[in-house]
Amino acid sequence: MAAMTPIERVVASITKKTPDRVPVILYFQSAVQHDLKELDYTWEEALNHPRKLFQAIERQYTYWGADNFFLPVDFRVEGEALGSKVTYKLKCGEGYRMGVVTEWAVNDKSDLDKLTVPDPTKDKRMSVTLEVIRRLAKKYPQVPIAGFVNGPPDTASDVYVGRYPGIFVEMINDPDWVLRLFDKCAETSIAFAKAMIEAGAAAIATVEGGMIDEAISPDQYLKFVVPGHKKIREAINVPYVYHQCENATPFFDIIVNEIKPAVVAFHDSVDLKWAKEKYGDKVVLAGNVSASKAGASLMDGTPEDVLREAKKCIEIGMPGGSFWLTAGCEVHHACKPENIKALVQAAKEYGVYK
Amino acid sequence: MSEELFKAIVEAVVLGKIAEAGNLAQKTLDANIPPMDTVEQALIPAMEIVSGKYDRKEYYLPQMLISSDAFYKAFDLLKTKMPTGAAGGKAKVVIGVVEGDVHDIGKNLVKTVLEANGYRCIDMGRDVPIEDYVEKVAEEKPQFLLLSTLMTPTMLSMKRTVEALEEENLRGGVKVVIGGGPISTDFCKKIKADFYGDNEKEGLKYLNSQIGA
Repeated sequence: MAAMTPIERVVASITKKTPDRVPVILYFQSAVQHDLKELDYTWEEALNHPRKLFQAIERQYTYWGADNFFLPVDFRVEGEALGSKVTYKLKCGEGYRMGVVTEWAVNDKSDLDKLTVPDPTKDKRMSVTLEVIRRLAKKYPQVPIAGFVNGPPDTASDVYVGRYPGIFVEMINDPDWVLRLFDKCAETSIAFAKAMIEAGAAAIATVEGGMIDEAISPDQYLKFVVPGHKKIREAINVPYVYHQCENATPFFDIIVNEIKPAVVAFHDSVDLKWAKEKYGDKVVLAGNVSASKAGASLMDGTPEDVLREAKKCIEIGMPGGSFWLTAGCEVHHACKPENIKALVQAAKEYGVYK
Repeated sequence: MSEELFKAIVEAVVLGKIAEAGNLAQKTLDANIPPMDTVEQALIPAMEIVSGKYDRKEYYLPQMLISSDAFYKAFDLLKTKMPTGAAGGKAKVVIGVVEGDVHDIGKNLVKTVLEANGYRCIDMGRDVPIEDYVEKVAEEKPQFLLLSTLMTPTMLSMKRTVEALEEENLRGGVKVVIGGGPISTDFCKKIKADFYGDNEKEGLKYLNSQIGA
């Protein structure tokens, strides 16, 4: 089979055709710090300047070899656009400081009524993201761009002073308020997603980071998590790529049958073989080389460990297509550069369709 | 009468009825029931029920946190009427989330269980600088230092906190217990901490084993 471009490869996998090889898709989030180090930029300057952010993001394809671009690379964009304040003070190694929310837009529950959905073309950091997408789409039309929106609950924890502990308590005390808060965050994500698509994003990626198996029940997931994501997915006309953090197994059915994303990406705690057998014909599966727990191969292993684990994932996931090789979580700054390269190499070495 | 009140407190805590838990705790004080009796015969059993429900997936974090709030409504009131040192007389614990991390639900749940079981917890909060832990350990001389993180990148802060205690000659006097999503027994050994607890029950069991409780 002739070699495909990354976008041809990804489109083939989503449309149930056979690509030339397994696409390797990276949720390249805090690992962009490796690029910032190379470029000598701080987090704050890169995230707030289109030219600098573009230089960092284009390396996902030109240096790391991913079949995609992924941005924005931090989780705080929507919360900041809704009025929370982000300060670059979170230590993340090698002298770098990531952004963290230090002042919240909603300090009293009644503040929710004052929130307005931001205009992505006018918000500082959203507009930086849009400009970078435009530049990437122009320079690299052969590479699909995944625009990232936070899951509504995650944005809500950046907006409400109570953060997740407060949200969990209000899920019992005042569930209607929580649903209204999540809906406002979903509306924000829709506005941002649509703007990113107009700028050139080929897909919208999202994550559920706080609503995990140890935190809430499947019934609570159905009630609180599904509506916002379903609304986002229905509002966009591009594939929705959904990552569920930690063990997605209890929620997999709900995700596939209620939210109905084009792709489900999941943690290494999910049995890929189980997922492939049960859902392989319904949705593209993306997984799941270990990245986030102590001992994870991308973080603590060697390139040979990564190749070995990735090979197993490919052997299980690739038959019949509809499979992406990914890390089981975001590619973060503690993932060793040589291991990220090994992940990409694995797709080329073991993932060719004959 | 005390049995009825204890039973009502257990129900209030398990069901997360915060105001009621506080009111009932006040009633025990009004009835001259020793506050420590209420802690041992109502609050501790209540949290054991709540923990059991979480283990059996009958409760999840929302219910756990509400029950924890109800527990503290009662406990904080009772504590004010106890002789100094009676609440938390088992051992002193410094507990916090490591530098760089702001996720504190797990830490708060561990603290709840430990305080319910007689440990005195000095809560350092979240995103606590390494130097603050070192200073607090030097100042308070706790038997235990409990460090929590939910994020992979901040595991390094955990390692550095242990190293800092070593450098300041404080390591020998305190048992370091670690926990959190990305943590493992292997990591615990790697950074030379004393124990990794997968949940608050394991943490409690370890602490009890160390003090012979």
